[in-house]
Parts: sequence; C-alpha cells; structure tokens
Amino acid sequence: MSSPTNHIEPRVDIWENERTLFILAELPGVRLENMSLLLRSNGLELEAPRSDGTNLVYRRTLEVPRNLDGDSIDACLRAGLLRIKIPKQSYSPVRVAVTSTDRPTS
Amino acid sequence: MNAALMFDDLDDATKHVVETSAPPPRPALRLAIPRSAPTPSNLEGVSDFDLDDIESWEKRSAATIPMASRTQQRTWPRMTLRDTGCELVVSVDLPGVAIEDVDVQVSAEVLTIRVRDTSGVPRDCTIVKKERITGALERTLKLLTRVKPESVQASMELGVLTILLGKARKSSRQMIAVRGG
Repeated sequence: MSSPTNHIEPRVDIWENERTLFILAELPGVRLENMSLLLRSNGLELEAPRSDGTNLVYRRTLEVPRNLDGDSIDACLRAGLLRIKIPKQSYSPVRVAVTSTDRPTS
Repeated sequence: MNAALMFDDLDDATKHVVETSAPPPRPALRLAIPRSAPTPSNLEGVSDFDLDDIESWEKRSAATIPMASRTQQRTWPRMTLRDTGCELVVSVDLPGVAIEDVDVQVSAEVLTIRVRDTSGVPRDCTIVKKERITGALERTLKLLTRVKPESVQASMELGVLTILLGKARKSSRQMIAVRGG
C-alpha cells in the first residue's frame, strides 16, 4: 500500500536560560539513522521520515538566536523525542572608542 | 544548579510528578507493556484512519462513555485505528513518554488509555515556545467490535504506543445446524 508522502511540522518546546537553549522536538516513529539536523544561517533545519509506514516526513526550520555555539550542539533522540541542547556564546562587553570628524569648537 | 545537568536528569525528575487524573481502575485487563512491537498478523486490505475518522467512528459507535470534549480531542495526540480483519490496531504517538507512564485497560468493548503527566521544565529556564501536549491524558474508546481482552498486546516503540486487539468470534448462534427430526 503506497500513498503520497506528507510533510508535517513536528511540535516543539523551546526553553532557555542564560547559558543554554533547549529544544524538544516530537519525532514519533523516527529512527535515528533516518533523521538529519543542520544548523544553517537561517536556523536549525530538521528533516526526519517516520519508519512505521505512515508516509509522514517531519520537516521544520526553527529560527534560533544568532549567539549560539554551533560547534557544541548536543542532540539526542530517545523514544521519539529529540532533545537538542545548544550553548549560547558568551560575550563580555567591549568598550568602543568613539572618534569624531567634527571641527573642534572654537 | 547546572542547567546541562538538569536537562539530562529531566526524565528522573519528572517521574516524581504526581498523577493528576487517575480514576479508580475498572475491573478490566491491565496490560504490562512489552518493549518489542508485536506484528499485526494480517495487514492486507488495511485502511488507515486519522483522528477525524476516529471521531466519526466514535460517533457511529454511539459511545455512551464519557467522551473527551472536542477541546480535549484537539489536545489528544495523533492516533490511528486500523481494522485488519481479525484484529483492531490502535496506534498513539506518545513521544518522550516512558512505558511505565502508560496504562492500557481493555474490556470486551471498551479501550482506555491513560498517560501520566511527564511535563517538567527546569526551574531556571524560561519557556520560549510551548507546542507539545504534556500533562496527564486519558482517552476511552468504545469499540465497535467485541474483542478478546486476553488477546490484547500493547507495546511502545520509537515513542509510538501500539495496541493489538484480537476480535472475538461472531456469535455461534448462526453456526448451529438444525437437524430434521
């Protein structure tokens, strides 16, 4: 029995604290080897087909803040729930010297 | 507390959440759910139903059981029902839910599925987006066909709960041959 593939957006919860962004994405019926997760400039791109003959493919691009440390993403799929943990990069404020091209006031 | 640690420990932490809606169990079969999925014995001529079909199916069955209100149905996870001819196959998406947090009860005509509350946000986190259905769930389906409670198998795999309900044989009344005297 074959029917056309349906793309659907997985439901997600997103939490954050000062240091980390947490994303929980619901991917029931998805096997680890079939899913892909990419961090692109426009966000976190997720694609995962179900393996239980339902012809459903989860697909979603999640906008994420710019200050994330893409090299340290931790993602784990367990019992159909993908848990993604992304550390935020910490910036300490840098004081900027301001110059002026105005003529000095006389 | 370390945020990373809290995330990893989430499963353990949420196990202590108190069950919020737990009516007393009915005198019916309570299933222990095995880890491996049973295979439906006959998948030919299988038709798929989505949630809408389940709603109409419930209407056709003239359910007198406390039906979930429409609002509740919208917050119930994706659920499918298939009739394979010799058995009914019910699948419910329960991503992130542990086997221990699911309770399935079956009598001849009624299937009840209960899921304990598994929500929980680390204390130092703020919620940015909330789409997932968490919290305690309960759904009761009146089955159109009589099933054999002793034949029921339930399993959880990849966050999908699958329940196989073997149909009871038709009444033997039709099969009695009448002999002429």
